[in-house]
Amino acid sequence: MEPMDIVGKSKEDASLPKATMTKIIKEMLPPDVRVARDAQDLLIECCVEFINLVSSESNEVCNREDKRTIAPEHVLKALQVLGFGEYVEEVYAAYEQHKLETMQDSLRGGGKWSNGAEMTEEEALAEQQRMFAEARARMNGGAIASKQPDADQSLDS
Amino acid sequence: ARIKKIMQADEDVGKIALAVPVLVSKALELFLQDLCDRTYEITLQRGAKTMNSLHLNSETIYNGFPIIRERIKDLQDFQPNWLIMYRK
Repeated sequence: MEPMDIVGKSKEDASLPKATMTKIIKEMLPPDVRVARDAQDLLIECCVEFINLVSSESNEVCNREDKRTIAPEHVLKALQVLGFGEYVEEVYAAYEQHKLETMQDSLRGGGKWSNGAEMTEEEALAEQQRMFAEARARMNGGAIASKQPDADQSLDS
Repeated sequence: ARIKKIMQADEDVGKIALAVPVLVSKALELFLQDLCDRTYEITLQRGAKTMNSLHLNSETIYNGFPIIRERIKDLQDFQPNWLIMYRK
């Protein structure tokens, strides 16, 4: 097997989708430019390395601030530290846009999840479990209540 | 989801806020655009029509991204045998 065949395959097989990335790379370049397969693979690898680098530095920032969850501010600070300061403005704008869209979605959905953007996966899961428990309690309560009149009738007779 | 998976492949990384992959995604887009632009410049300088990994491995790219210099160099393993021989 050639070394090229193992691009993007790690222990966890955590890589970026090759076809999508190739499409993005081609869109970023003028139409007359061809990209060799080895260059495509290397670009994708660089992207994976970039994600690892940013997440690692964000984690450092997060730990320094004695926080348990990596927050958007930590990512912005990490980009600054790593020398990608010129990206911060656009990245922050994308974050604001995302917040706006999330807020609009939550308002359309009844406003129950207005702070959904700031929830971690664990918090969202806990909230879901709580809601399930509430629904179960309501259902059980309803079942008991509906059975109660029948019992009264049998007593009367 | 894919970005989050890559981030959490690192054992040191714990919880990640829901908005974080959105930020990383945008930063990645800017990084890739930057990398493509710089590599394309080198492709033009060399009078080539096809961009290859030699253009990506040039010193100009390393100087532009000093922080990932060593990391890109480590990725030599992924290059075809003929290219490694050619570079020697």
